[in-house]
Amino acid sequence: MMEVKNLMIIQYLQYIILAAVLTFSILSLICIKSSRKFIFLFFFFLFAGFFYFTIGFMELTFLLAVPTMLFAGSFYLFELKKEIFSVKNISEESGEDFSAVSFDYEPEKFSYKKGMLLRYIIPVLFCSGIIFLFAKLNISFIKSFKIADKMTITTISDMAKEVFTNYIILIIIFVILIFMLVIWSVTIINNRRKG
Amino acid sequence: MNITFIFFSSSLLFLIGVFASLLFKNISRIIISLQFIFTAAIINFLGFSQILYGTSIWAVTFILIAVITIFLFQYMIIFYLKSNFYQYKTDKLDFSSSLYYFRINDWLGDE
Repeated sequence: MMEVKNLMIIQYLQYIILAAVLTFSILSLICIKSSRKFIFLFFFFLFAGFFYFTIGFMELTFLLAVPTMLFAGSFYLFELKKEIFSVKNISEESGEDFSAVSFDYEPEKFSYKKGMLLRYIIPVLFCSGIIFLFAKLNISFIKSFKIADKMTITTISDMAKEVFTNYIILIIIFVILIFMLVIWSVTIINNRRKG
Repeated sequence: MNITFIFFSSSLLFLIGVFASLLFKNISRIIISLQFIFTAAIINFLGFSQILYGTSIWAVTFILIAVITIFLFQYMIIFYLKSNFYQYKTDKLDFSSSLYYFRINDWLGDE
Protein backbone atom coordinates (compact mmCIF):
# COMPACT_ATOMS: atom_id res chain seq x y z
CA MET A 1 0.00 0.00 0.00
CA MET A 2 1.16 3.49 -0.83
CA GLU A 3 0.72 6.44 1.47
CA VAL A 4 0.24 10.09 0.51
CA LYS A 5 1.08 12.59 3.25
CA ASN A 6 0.83 16.00 1.57
CA LEU A 7 -2.89 16.49 1.17
CA MET A 8 -2.99 20.26 0.49
CA ILE A 9 -2.90 20.00 -3.32
CA ILE A 10 -5.50 17.23 -3.28
CA GLN A 11 -7.79 19.40 -1.17
CA TYR A 12 -7.69 22.31 -3.65
CA LEU A 13 -8.16 19.88 -6.55
CA GLN A 14 -11.24 18.48 -4.84
CA TYR A 15 -12.80 21.94 -4.54
CA ILE A 16 -12.48 22.46 -8.30
CA ILE A 17 -13.60 18.94 -9.23
CA LEU A 18 -16.70 18.89 -7.01
CA ALA A 19 -17.73 22.33 -8.28
CA ALA A 20 -17.41 21.01 -11.84
CA VAL A 21 -19.43 17.89 -10.94
CA LEU A 22 -22.28 20.03 -9.58
CA THR A 23 -22.18 22.41 -12.56
CA PHE A 24 -22.28 19.65 -15.17
CA SER A 25 -25.02 17.81 -13.30
CA ILE A 26 -27.29 20.87 -13.45
CA LEU A 27 -26.37 21.57 -17.10
CA SER A 28 -27.14 18.01 -18.19
CA LEU A 29 -30.58 18.26 -16.59
CA ILE A 30 -31.42 21.67 -18.01
CA CYS A 31 -30.40 20.97 -21.64
CA ILE A 32 -33.25 20.04 -23.93
CA LYS A 33 -31.25 18.93 -26.94
CA SER A 34 -30.20 15.36 -26.20
CA SER A 35 -26.77 15.50 -27.87
CA ARG A 36 -25.74 18.39 -25.61
CA LYS A 37 -27.30 16.61 -22.65
CA PHE A 38 -25.09 13.60 -23.28
CA ILE A 39 -21.97 15.75 -23.69
CA PHE A 40 -22.58 17.30 -20.27
CA LEU A 41 -23.37 13.87 -18.80
CA PHE A 42 -20.04 12.63 -20.16
CA PHE A 43 -18.23 15.54 -18.46
CA PHE A 44 -20.15 14.78 -15.25
CA PHE A 45 -18.93 11.16 -15.33
CA LEU A 46 -15.40 12.34 -16.18
CA PHE A 47 -15.16 14.73 -13.23
CA ALA A 48 -16.75 12.19 -10.89
CA GLY A 49 -13.97 9.82 -12.05
CA PHE A 50 -11.39 12.53 -11.28
CA PHE A 51 -12.82 12.78 -7.78
CA TYR A 52 -12.52 9.02 -7.22
CA PHE A 53 -8.95 9.35 -8.50
CA THR A 54 -8.04 12.02 -5.95
CA ILE A 55 -9.67 10.30 -3.01
CA GLY A 56 -7.55 7.17 -3.17
CA PHE A 57 -8.90 5.02 -5.94
CA MET A 58 -6.05 5.85 -8.35
CA GLU A 59 -5.79 3.09 -10.96
CA LEU A 60 -9.02 1.45 -9.77
CA THR A 61 -10.90 4.38 -11.33
CA PHE A 62 -10.50 2.61 -14.67
CA LEU A 63 -12.27 -0.43 -13.25
CA LEU A 64 -15.18 1.83 -12.30
CA ALA A 65 -15.13 3.45 -15.73
CA VAL A 66 -15.86 0.18 -17.59
CA PRO A 67 -19.46 -0.36 -16.32
CA THR A 68 -20.07 3.40 -16.49
CA MET A 69 -19.09 3.54 -20.17
CA LEU A 70 -21.13 0.44 -21.01
CA PHE A 71 -24.17 1.92 -19.31
CA ALA A 72 -23.72 5.36 -20.91
CA GLY A 73 -23.36 3.72 -24.36
CA SER A 74 -26.56 1.70 -24.00
CA PHE A 75 -28.40 4.74 -22.62
CA TYR A 76 -27.25 6.86 -25.57
CA LEU A 77 -28.41 4.21 -28.06
CA PHE A 78 -31.80 4.07 -26.31
CA GLU A 79 -32.12 7.86 -26.49
CA LEU A 80 -31.10 7.91 -30.17
CA LYS A 81 -33.64 5.25 -31.14
CA LYS A 82 -36.33 6.99 -29.13
CA GLU A 83 -35.72 10.23 -31.00
CA ILE A 84 -36.03 8.58 -34.39
CA PHE A 85 -38.91 6.20 -33.67
CA SER A 86 -41.05 8.70 -31.80
CA VAL A 87 -41.28 10.84 -34.94
CA LYS A 88 -41.77 7.77 -37.14
CA ASN A 89 -44.67 6.41 -35.08
CA ILE A 90 -46.49 9.73 -35.16
CA SER A 91 -46.10 10.00 -38.93
CA GLU A 92 -47.37 6.43 -39.43
CA GLU A 93 -50.47 7.08 -37.35
CA SER A 94 -51.48 10.42 -38.78
CA GLY A 95 -50.50 9.67 -42.37
CA GLU A 96 -48.55 12.90 -42.71
CA ASP A 97 -44.88 13.14 -43.53
CA PHE A 98 -42.88 14.30 -40.53
CA SER A 99 -39.48 13.50 -41.98
CA ALA A 100 -38.55 17.19 -42.09
CA VAL A 101 -39.28 17.61 -38.38
CA SER A 102 -36.18 18.13 -36.28
CA PHE A 103 -35.46 15.58 -33.59
CA ASP A 104 -35.05 18.17 -30.84
CA TYR A 105 -37.71 18.08 -28.20
CA GLU A 106 -39.90 21.04 -27.63
CA PRO A 107 -39.72 22.49 -24.12
CA GLU A 108 -42.66 21.74 -21.89
CA LYS A 109 -45.18 24.58 -22.06
CA PHE A 110 -45.81 26.27 -18.76
CA SER A 111 -49.43 26.62 -17.74
CA TYR A 112 -50.69 28.00 -14.47
CA LYS A 113 -52.87 25.14 -13.39
CA LYS A 114 -53.28 23.89 -9.86
CA GLY A 115 -51.67 20.53 -10.58
CA MET A 116 -48.70 22.10 -12.36
CA LEU A 117 -48.03 24.45 -9.44
CA LEU A 118 -48.19 21.55 -7.00
CA ARG A 119 -45.81 19.62 -9.25
CA TYR A 120 -43.21 22.36 -8.87
CA ILE A 121 -43.87 23.35 -5.25
CA ILE A 122 -43.81 19.89 -3.63
CA PRO A 123 -40.24 18.96 -4.77
CA VAL A 124 -38.95 22.44 -3.79
CA LEU A 125 -40.48 22.17 -0.31
CA PHE A 126 -39.31 18.60 0.12
CA CYS A 127 -35.70 19.32 -0.89
CA SER A 128 -35.44 22.58 1.05
CA GLY A 129 -36.73 20.82 4.17
CA ILE A 130 -34.17 18.06 3.79
CA ILE A 131 -31.26 20.47 3.28
CA PHE A 132 -32.37 22.54 6.30
CA LEU A 133 -32.40 19.43 8.48
CA PHE A 134 -29.01 18.36 7.06
CA ALA A 135 -27.42 21.72 7.82
CA LYS A 136 -28.94 22.10 11.27
CA LEU A 137 -28.35 18.63 12.64
CA ASN A 138 -25.08 17.56 11.03
CA ILE A 139 -22.68 20.49 10.88
CA SER A 140 -21.51 20.35 14.51
CA PHE A 141 -21.23 16.57 14.30
CA ILE A 142 -19.04 16.69 11.18
CA LYS A 143 -16.76 19.40 12.59
CA SER A 144 -16.02 17.17 15.59
CA PHE A 145 -14.38 14.51 13.35
CA LYS A 146 -10.64 14.04 13.55
CA ILE A 147 -9.39 13.93 9.97
CA ALA A 148 -6.63 11.43 9.14
CA ASP A 149 -3.31 13.11 8.27
CA LYS A 150 -2.32 10.62 5.57
CA MET A 151 -4.11 8.92 2.71
CA THR A 152 -3.71 5.30 1.67
CA ILE A 153 -3.88 4.17 -1.93
CA THR A 154 -5.34 0.72 -2.45
CA THR A 155 -4.10 -1.61 -5.17
CA ILE A 156 -5.71 -4.59 -6.85
CA SER A 157 -3.55 -7.04 -4.87
CA ASP A 158 -4.84 -5.54 -1.60
CA MET A 159 -8.37 -6.01 -2.84
CA ALA A 160 -7.64 -9.64 -3.75
CA LYS A 161 -6.24 -10.22 -0.26
CA GLU A 162 -9.35 -8.65 1.28
CA VAL A 163 -11.68 -10.81 -0.81
CA PHE A 164 -9.84 -14.00 0.19
CA THR A 165 -9.79 -13.16 3.91
CA ASN A 166 -13.14 -11.45 4.33
CA TYR A 167 -15.92 -13.82 3.35
CA ILE A 168 -18.72 -11.27 3.83
CA ILE A 169 -17.86 -9.75 0.45
CA LEU A 170 -18.29 -13.12 -1.28
CA ILE A 171 -21.63 -13.61 0.46
CA ILE A 172 -22.74 -10.14 -0.66
CA ILE A 173 -21.72 -10.94 -4.26
CA PHE A 174 -23.67 -14.21 -4.12
CA VAL A 175 -26.84 -12.54 -2.78
CA ILE A 176 -26.56 -9.76 -5.36
CA LEU A 177 -26.13 -12.30 -8.18
CA ILE A 178 -29.29 -14.16 -7.14
CA PHE A 179 -31.19 -10.88 -6.94
CA MET A 180 -30.05 -9.77 -10.41
CA LEU A 181 -30.85 -13.18 -11.87
CA VAL A 182 -34.41 -13.04 -10.53
CA ILE A 183 -34.99 -9.54 -11.97
CA TRP A 184 -33.45 -10.51 -15.31
CA SER A 185 -35.58 -13.65 -15.60
CA VAL A 186 -38.75 -11.70 -14.71
CA THR A 187 -37.94 -9.17 -17.47
CA ILE A 188 -37.34 -11.89 -20.05
CA ILE A 189 -40.53 -13.80 -19.15
CA ASN A 190 -42.59 -10.61 -19.44
CA ASN A 191 -41.16 -9.88 -22.89
CA ARG A 192 -41.67 -13.43 -24.16
CA ARG A 193 -45.31 -13.37 -23.12
CA LYS A 194 -45.84 -10.20 -25.13
CA GLY A 195 -44.02 -11.64 -28.15
CA MET B 1 -9.01 17.36 3.11
CA ASN B 2 -12.20 19.22 3.91
CA ILE B 3 -14.86 16.74 4.92
CA THR B 4 -17.55 19.40 5.38
CA PHE B 5 -17.21 20.52 1.77
CA ILE B 6 -17.36 16.93 0.48
CA PHE B 7 -20.37 16.15 2.66
CA PHE B 8 -22.34 19.23 1.62
CA SER B 9 -21.51 19.00 -2.07
CA SER B 10 -22.51 15.33 -2.16
CA SER B 11 -25.73 16.08 -0.29
CA LEU B 12 -26.44 18.89 -2.79
CA LEU B 13 -25.87 16.47 -5.66
CA PHE B 14 -28.20 13.97 -3.98
CA LEU B 15 -30.87 16.66 -3.61
CA ILE B 16 -30.52 17.68 -7.27
CA GLY B 17 -31.16 14.03 -8.13
CA VAL B 18 -34.19 13.76 -5.85
CA PHE B 19 -35.59 17.09 -7.08
CA ALA B 20 -35.19 16.15 -10.75
CA SER B 21 -36.63 12.66 -10.31
CA LEU B 22 -39.70 14.15 -8.59
CA LEU B 23 -40.11 16.98 -11.09
CA PHE B 24 -39.49 15.60 -14.57
CA LYS B 25 -41.66 13.08 -16.40
CA ASN B 26 -39.18 12.39 -19.18
CA ILE B 27 -37.66 8.94 -18.65
CA SER B 28 -34.15 9.92 -19.79
CA ARG B 29 -34.05 12.79 -17.29
CA ILE B 30 -35.21 10.46 -14.51
CA ILE B 31 -32.40 8.02 -15.36
CA ILE B 32 -29.86 10.88 -15.38
CA SER B 33 -31.11 12.06 -11.98
CA LEU B 34 -30.72 8.49 -10.66
CA GLN B 35 -27.08 8.75 -11.77
CA PHE B 36 -26.68 11.85 -9.58
CA ILE B 37 -28.11 10.08 -6.53
CA PHE B 38 -25.82 7.14 -7.15
CA THR B 39 -22.69 9.29 -7.63
CA ALA B 40 -23.51 11.28 -4.48
CA ALA B 41 -23.66 8.05 -2.50
CA ILE B 42 -20.26 6.92 -3.83
CA ILE B 43 -18.65 10.32 -3.11
CA ASN B 44 -20.00 10.31 0.46
CA PHE B 45 -18.99 6.72 1.11
CA LEU B 46 -15.48 7.12 -0.28
CA GLY B 47 -14.93 10.49 1.34
CA PHE B 48 -15.88 9.36 4.83
CA SER B 49 -13.96 6.08 4.65
CA GLN B 50 -10.80 7.68 3.30
CA ILE B 51 -10.74 10.85 5.38
CA LEU B 52 -11.73 9.39 8.73
CA TYR B 53 -9.89 6.08 8.72
CA GLY B 54 -7.09 6.51 6.17
CA THR B 55 -7.43 2.94 4.93
CA SER B 56 -10.36 1.90 2.83
CA ILE B 57 -9.69 -1.50 1.24
CA TRP B 58 -13.04 -2.90 2.35
CA ALA B 59 -14.80 0.24 1.20
CA VAL B 60 -13.09 0.18 -2.20
CA THR B 61 -13.98 -3.48 -2.74
CA PHE B 62 -17.54 -2.93 -1.65
CA ILE B 63 -17.92 0.12 -3.90
CA LEU B 64 -16.59 -1.76 -6.93
CA ILE B 65 -19.11 -4.55 -6.41
CA ALA B 66 -21.93 -2.08 -5.76
CA VAL B 67 -21.11 0.00 -8.84
CA ILE B 68 -21.06 -3.02 -11.14
CA THR B 69 -24.33 -4.30 -9.66
CA ILE B 70 -26.20 -1.01 -9.88
CA PHE B 71 -25.03 -0.36 -13.43
CA LEU B 72 -26.21 -3.84 -14.39
CA PHE B 73 -29.55 -3.04 -12.80
CA GLN B 74 -29.82 0.23 -14.72
CA TYR B 75 -28.82 -1.55 -17.90
CA MET B 76 -31.74 -3.91 -17.29
CA ILE B 77 -34.12 -0.96 -16.94
CA ILE B 78 -32.93 0.39 -20.29
CA PHE B 79 -33.15 -3.04 -21.89
CA TYR B 80 -36.72 -3.36 -20.63
CA LEU B 81 -37.66 0.08 -21.98
CA LYS B 82 -35.95 -0.64 -25.29
CA SER B 83 -37.68 -4.00 -25.71
CA ASN B 84 -41.09 -2.42 -25.06
CA PHE B 85 -40.26 0.54 -27.23
CA TYR B 86 -43.09 0.43 -29.72
CA GLN B 87 -45.68 0.97 -27.00
CA TYR B 88 -44.46 4.49 -26.34
CA LYS B 89 -45.41 7.05 -28.95
CA THR B 90 -43.72 10.11 -27.44
CA ASP B 91 -40.86 10.84 -25.09
CA LYS B 92 -43.14 11.00 -22.07
CA LEU B 93 -44.09 7.95 -20.05
CA ASP B 94 -47.30 7.93 -18.10
CA PHE B 95 -46.41 6.25 -14.84
CA SER B 96 -49.77 6.99 -13.26
CA SER B 97 -51.58 4.42 -15.39
CA SER B 98 -49.22 1.50 -14.92
CA LEU B 99 -46.65 1.55 -12.15
CA TYR B 100 -48.15 3.30 -9.15
CA TYR B 101 -51.84 3.24 -9.87
CA PHE B 102 -53.48 -0.16 -9.86
CA ARG B 103 -57.03 -0.74 -10.93
CA ILE B 104 -58.97 -3.91 -10.19
CA ASN B 105 -59.11 -4.71 -13.93
CA ASP B 106 -55.31 -4.79 -14.10
CA TRP B 107 -55.29 -7.71 -11.68
CA LEU B 108 -58.42 -9.61 -12.67
CA GLY B 109 -58.71 -8.78 -16.38
CA ASP B 110 -61.51 -7.06 -18.23
CA GLU B 111 -63.99 -9.95 -18.31
